[in-house]
Amino acid sequence: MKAPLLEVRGLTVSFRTEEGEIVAVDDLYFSVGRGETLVIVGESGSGKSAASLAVMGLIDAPGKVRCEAIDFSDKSGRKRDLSRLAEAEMQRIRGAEIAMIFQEPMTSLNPVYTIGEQIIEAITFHEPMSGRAARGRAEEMLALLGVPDPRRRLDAYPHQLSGGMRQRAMIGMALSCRPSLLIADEPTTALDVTVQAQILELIRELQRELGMAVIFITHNLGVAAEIADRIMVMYAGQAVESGPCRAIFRGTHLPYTIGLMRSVPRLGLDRSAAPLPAIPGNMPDPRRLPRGCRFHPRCSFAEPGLCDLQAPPLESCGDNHQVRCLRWREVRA
Amino acid sequence: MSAAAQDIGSGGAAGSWSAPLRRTLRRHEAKLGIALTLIFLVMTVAAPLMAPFDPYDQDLSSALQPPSFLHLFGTDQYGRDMFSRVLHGSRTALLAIIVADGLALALGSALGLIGGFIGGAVDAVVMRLVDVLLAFPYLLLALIIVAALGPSLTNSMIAIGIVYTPQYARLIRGQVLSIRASDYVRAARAVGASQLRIMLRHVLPNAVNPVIVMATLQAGSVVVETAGLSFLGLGAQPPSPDWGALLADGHSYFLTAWWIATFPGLAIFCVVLGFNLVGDALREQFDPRRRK
Amino acid sequence: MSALLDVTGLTRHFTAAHGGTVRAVEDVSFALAEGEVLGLVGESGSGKTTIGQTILRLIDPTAGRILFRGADITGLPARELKAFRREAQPIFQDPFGSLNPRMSVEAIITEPLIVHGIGRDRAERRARVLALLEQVGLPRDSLKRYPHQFSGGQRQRISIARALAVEPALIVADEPVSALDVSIQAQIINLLRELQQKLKLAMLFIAHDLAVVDYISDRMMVLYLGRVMEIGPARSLIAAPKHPYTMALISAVPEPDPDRADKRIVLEGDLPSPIDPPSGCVFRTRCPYALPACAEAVPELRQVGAGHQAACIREDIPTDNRRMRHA
Repeated sequence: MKAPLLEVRGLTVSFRTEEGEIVAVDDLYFSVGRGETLVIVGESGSGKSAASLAVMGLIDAPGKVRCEAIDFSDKSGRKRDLSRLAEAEMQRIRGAEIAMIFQEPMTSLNPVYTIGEQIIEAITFHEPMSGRAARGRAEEMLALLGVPDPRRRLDAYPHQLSGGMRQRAMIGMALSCRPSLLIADEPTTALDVTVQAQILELIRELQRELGMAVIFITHNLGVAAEIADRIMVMYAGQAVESGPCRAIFRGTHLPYTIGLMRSVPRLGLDRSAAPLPAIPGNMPDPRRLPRGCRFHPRCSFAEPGLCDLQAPPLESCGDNHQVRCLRWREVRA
Repeated sequence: MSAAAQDIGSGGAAGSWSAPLRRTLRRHEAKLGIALTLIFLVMTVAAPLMAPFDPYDQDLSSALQPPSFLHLFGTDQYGRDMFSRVLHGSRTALLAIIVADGLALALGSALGLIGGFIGGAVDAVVMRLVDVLLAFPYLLLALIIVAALGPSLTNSMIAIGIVYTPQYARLIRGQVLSIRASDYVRAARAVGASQLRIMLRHVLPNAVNPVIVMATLQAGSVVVETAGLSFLGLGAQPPSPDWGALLADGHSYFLTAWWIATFPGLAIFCVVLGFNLVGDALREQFDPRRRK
Repeated sequence: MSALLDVTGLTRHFTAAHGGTVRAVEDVSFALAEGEVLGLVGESGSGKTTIGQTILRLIDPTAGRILFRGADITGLPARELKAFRREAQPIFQDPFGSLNPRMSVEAIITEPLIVHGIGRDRAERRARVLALLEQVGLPRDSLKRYPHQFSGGQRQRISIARALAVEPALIVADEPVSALDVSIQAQIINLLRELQQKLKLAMLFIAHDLAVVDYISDRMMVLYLGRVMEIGPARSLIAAPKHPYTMALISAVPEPDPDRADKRIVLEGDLPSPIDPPSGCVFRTRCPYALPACAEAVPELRQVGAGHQAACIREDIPTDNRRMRHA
């Protein structure tokens, strides 16, 4: 099996607050292969964003990151542990090797600079070149992103662009140096659904062209189904299921995943008298996690005496498919 | 947790000693601020009891004495005990806070509420008035007011109060506008609540926090500026032991009898520091991002 | 039977910051019967939120007429709107911003009762509040607590309780579940549906999530740039949409099905500016089926089925029936 592009082992991210230490990510393991799309599915409090920020070395105090290793194979083929790199070295990695885009393009773009200036800054930081060359590259990037009239758009300010355009500008900044891994944290959540369709299409195209791997974070199962090669479901800081996209949608063994899939309204769904099968209860408070399985208070498959006492480990339940459930053999969609 | 797990600090940031240090300082600065403010308040109340001498009592034979056990802060050119004078001066400082800050708060709130609520032409007029006040350098404005009304402590406090009104007006107007745009106010309107009810039940209680913070932070500034006016002779008149007046007294003697100006100056410094620290701590407490 | 709500030619313009008029809502007409749920669906700039606010008379329409129970409430001054306000209540999107952080849950839900003089004394009002809390699935001890002590889903329940306090006939729900976690959305959708059926509430359900709107609505109205593109029974619209924009919307919704192999309609370009909308059909600049004739006049709403109308001059557009698979 080919060596993965990124391998995260034993990642734990915690935040020290006045109420004590909150563990946002708990002993996480995952990997991404070259050119592969891994979708991390989770709701608020699942730790999905904290995990990706930790990979990028963007967790600041009062956050603390602990891990065994974050192994990344850079463009020269060298395998490096990102968690042990100094800030200066991480800066060379960010943008050039691994890029990140966020949910809110309006706040991720600096309002006082044109998008051209921002893209060019990203380019020249990693690859010193003349202003004209950088501008050319930026224009190319915008054209690749499907921005009409790219030469003029380079001189536009973020507020002059629509949400979809801003997101493209941000993607442009992120991809201007052709990184081998793109981390996209809910990039389409704030966009209209038709614009989301455009951006998803775009990311897929770019991925094919650049041979890029993508870690896509979302809470939307529909989006996951569309673009994922592999999916990792997170809940309350832990990975609770991980496997190939089809295996998860067709043959999941995790009550949480089943609950999510069933509770989301689908177009053309039969609206019989029965209400939507909703997952009862609320997300657990990270300071007062339930004993045993973290999902058990909300789980219809929970067995008293088992699920409320033992914390389930991640077990293999199929080809490259793992699940964190003590009763997974009895659980079917 | 894996045995080989390694603590790599807060992700490459400059060094994790700064975070706990900052946290400690923050806790202690609030305490320091409260301590200073309390000492100040005790001084104002207990000045007559704490002061060993009458602040107005002259004794030319003991003029210009350096600090000693008898005269903790020394004596001035008329032999008056500086310690007693500084203690009594705290009262005018408190008066300044109450009158000047209070006036600014009251006037500013009224203007801000009127402008924010009524909107339209009235709001425009109010805001232009506020702009005019802001455009004047504070000192010039204070001079004009005092010139019109005559130099006295009361008039200088009124002047400072007027000078600080725009800050409050803008703050409150901003609060009113943003609160009125909130969904819960819209819900109240949708239910048919009267404007008065909305103002009293919804807007005011939510506007209060930043106003408290501002009032606390301004308290310090007000003390400095009334002292400033007194220093220039436009505020408290001699023989008042107002700290600014004391600075005025002492500045010509600074090289020979440093204690006359220094201790009032230190007193101003400590009081302002105290209010600023408390104000900062309050602002952090009220920061909406900290909502639990 | 006369409709509960009858809206004709509703129009709302705003003056833009740098001059020009934002045509947020342009000539929207629809009727709503008692106990019926009409879903308003559209993306940013569609005007759906503005329509909701105008119906509730939180903002004034620029033109048009709103009839509620046959009475014209369009131009009524604030004083005379009080009776109407008892009949129509909102639910907002943001569970954090829609509750006064300084008021206890009891105070929040009691306020509508006080404003309308419901309940003779405090005890009676409290009893009413407790009944409402039970209806929305909140525990009795919520009374004395404050909004920040509740989760997003629970706060929406409080908002719903507040809206129901005056026993309204119409609820205008503006994106009531969009800001909630996925696993909580279903709970609140169920609650709304249950209450709507039990209390026979008419609802204007405004959302951008087509699947959610489809689930809860009897009829749906699709909006684009302030104008109605299509309106009709929810089933018909989804199964056999007649307007290209509706088709694109349906097509754009990501399906949680990795084997979905259909070609998706990806719209070209960006939303035009509402200050300077395209002439004729406002959708024509992004429509894959646009003809030169589309620029000439604003298309009328044309009957395309039972109770189903579309604002498109073409009759020959193939309907994408992919959704039938799930029915």
